Amino acid sequence: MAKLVTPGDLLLDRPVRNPYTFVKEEKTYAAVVGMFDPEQGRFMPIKGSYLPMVGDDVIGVVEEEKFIGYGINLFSPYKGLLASKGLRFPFEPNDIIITQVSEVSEVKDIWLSRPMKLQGGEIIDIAPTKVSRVIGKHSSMLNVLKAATKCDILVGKNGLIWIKGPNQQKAVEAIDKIDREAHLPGLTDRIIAFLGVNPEDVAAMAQQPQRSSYETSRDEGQREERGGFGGRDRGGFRGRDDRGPRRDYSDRGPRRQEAPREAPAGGQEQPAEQAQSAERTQPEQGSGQSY
Amino acid sequence: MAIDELKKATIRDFIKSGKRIDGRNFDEYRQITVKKGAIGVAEGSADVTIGKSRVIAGVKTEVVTPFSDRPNEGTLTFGADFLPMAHETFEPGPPRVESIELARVVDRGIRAAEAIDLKSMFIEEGKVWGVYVDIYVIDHDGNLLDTAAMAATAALQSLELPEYRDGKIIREERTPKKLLDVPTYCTFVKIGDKLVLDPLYSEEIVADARITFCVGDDNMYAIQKAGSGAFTKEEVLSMLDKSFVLRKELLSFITAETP
Amino acid sequence: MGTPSDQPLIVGGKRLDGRAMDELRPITIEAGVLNRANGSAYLTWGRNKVMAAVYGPKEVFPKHETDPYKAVVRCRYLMAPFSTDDHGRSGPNRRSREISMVIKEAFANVVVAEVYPKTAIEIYIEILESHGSTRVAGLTAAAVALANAGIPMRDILIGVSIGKIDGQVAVDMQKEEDNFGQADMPIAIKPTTGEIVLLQMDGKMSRAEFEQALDMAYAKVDEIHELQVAALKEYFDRAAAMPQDGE
Repeated sequence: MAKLVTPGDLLLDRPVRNPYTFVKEEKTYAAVVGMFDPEQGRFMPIKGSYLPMVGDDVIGVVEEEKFIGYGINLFSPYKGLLASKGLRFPFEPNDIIITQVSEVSEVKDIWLSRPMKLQGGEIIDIAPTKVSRVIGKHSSMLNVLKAATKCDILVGKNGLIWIKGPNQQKAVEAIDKIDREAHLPGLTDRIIAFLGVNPEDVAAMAQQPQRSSYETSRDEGQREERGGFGGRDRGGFRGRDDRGPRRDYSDRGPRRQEAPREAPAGGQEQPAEQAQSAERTQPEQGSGQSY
Repeated sequence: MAIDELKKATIRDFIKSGKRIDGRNFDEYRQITVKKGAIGVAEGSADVTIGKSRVIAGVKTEVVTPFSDRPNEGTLTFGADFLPMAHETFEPGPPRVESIELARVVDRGIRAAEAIDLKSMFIEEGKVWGVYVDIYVIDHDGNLLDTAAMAATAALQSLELPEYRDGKIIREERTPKKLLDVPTYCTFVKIGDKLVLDPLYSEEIVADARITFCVGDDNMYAIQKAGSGAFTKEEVLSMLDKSFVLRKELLSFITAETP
Repeated sequence: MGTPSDQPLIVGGKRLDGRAMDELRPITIEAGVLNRANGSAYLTWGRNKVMAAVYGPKEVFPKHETDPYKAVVRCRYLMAPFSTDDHGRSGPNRRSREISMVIKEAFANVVVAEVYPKTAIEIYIEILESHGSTRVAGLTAAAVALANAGIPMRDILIGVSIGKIDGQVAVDMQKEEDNFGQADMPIAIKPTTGEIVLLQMDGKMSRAEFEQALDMAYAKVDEIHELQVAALKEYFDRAAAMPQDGE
């Protein structure tokens, strides 16, 4: 049973480091208000600013053009920087883009790469800590949302979500519902009911990756740019080979069977164990911060 | 940045191993000097040094209208200036919050101690003496509060009220006005888990917290904790006890007659 | 302290408002009352009315005050011109600047500032109606606003005042007691460790009375902390619309 905890409440008798908890004498305590499930070891903060991690897809607004590139407003305490080197098209201030965090320095400079302009549609914002609920395990929730509303939906880890399609309003309402009720049990069922989806169809919908034309063109744009942009200079992926389908965005469903890339700092639905191991592969964030 | 910033690690190491960079004990004051009457034109003054920190306090009196709820009492006002000459990090400009805090803490202790007999400052209906104590910090090597408090109390201790006749203040004719009580102030800082009395500037900048106690013979008059560190109840009581013990030594400086 | 008054502050063993020496005035706390601020709390404490709001973590202005390794905690405590019997002046004054500083330092102790380097966390405390011990009421409200904003903290601070009236030590000074009492001591404590992060005292007290005052303050920590936690829980329930049946 999950219960509400407040700053200073003891969570675990062993140390787990992340931005929403602190460690004292080898025990973990809550640093923010959130829901804690002691059986599952899960801690979900109800509020928290977005803390960037390498690999995150984020949606932001182009703010200013500097010498080396663009300043991007990510609606987080930290601004993003998009190098102009290697970009195919220039951006204008107020362009809305989806882009990826390629590097986070020790002093929280956020370098972005692989940008794509988003045209039309609408943007909504939810608490960054709820993003993982909108995506769901293996993108199941996101796939259902897309299929049920027939909309393109792109989710930024910073809490910004872009929706475009015939049923934008329904999608907006569904996502807002997730934002408000993420901590309550039975969320998935309620969303499915809200969307008017036939329960028998859900499993199929959840599995079916919905790739919009945007996602495809970002892929293609990427393949062409591989020479100049992806993978070599700052930006692009690390340690990826250049063959095969790319993992561009937030999870694309069961095409790949590796663990979901939802890093723990964004939305803490991960069991505390997983949070800790995921921390180790993402050296920028949280680990080694003693409180 | 002051050069003391480079010494931070050194200071912390010293303190951790139970020593201070100037060889003092943790509960020992630096050398204290008090020179009363330093400013002739003021009705009271004192030039005080604690180690290399130096503060001059001057007292001026004016004839003022009393407060409406205290029509028969004199008024007492404290001000403090951290002069740019005192430290390379002091810029000219509006008062720093530290100088506001210092003036207010000195004020509170002296007022709570009822050190100065304000009731005897009544002149006639609608006229009382207004006592203005101005604290000038001219050299900063830590513990400005104790230095300033001592300067203010010593200056008040040497207060001489002028005459007031036919609507005019005659400053050449003065009558000494002794203090009823002389409160003493002791400031400690906490570095790591050690409590350190009378900090140097270089000790202040590594301290996590600071606390000042103003006491009299039997009573305490003011406490001010500053800084983002924390104290336990036991630490607070032990420093309070120490402040009572140190009082005798501090009093001897304030009440000594200037040769 | 204020003008000594002829009126006794303790009559028949009870204080002017009927309280016992160790009794708090009634306190109500509501979290998340403002829309734009990242966190907020409205608190009443006796006749005190306090609004606290938090913005942050956000960009630091002026830029040269940015700390590359941690968030900068700032606080502004202010009394509204209409909050006291006499009309007050708008804006900060010496007293409010000192109070802002000691409250800021108290929170700087518990905020886990390393989580958000190069940002500022701004705490705004407005005293809308003042009736004694406003700085601890403001601090207690601000602690709830910070938690409501999701600012990481090691503890939710509580503040309370102790004083001495008519020779007796008592907890929670209301206005007349604040003005005419013999000593006044605001204190802020971390409920989980018992450490003191704010302590000021002004008046005349013996060492024994001081220790008694400290003990009385500690005796009230849990009571105040529970109200803060309840307010945060209530906000949580209120903010998430409870699903209707059949929805």
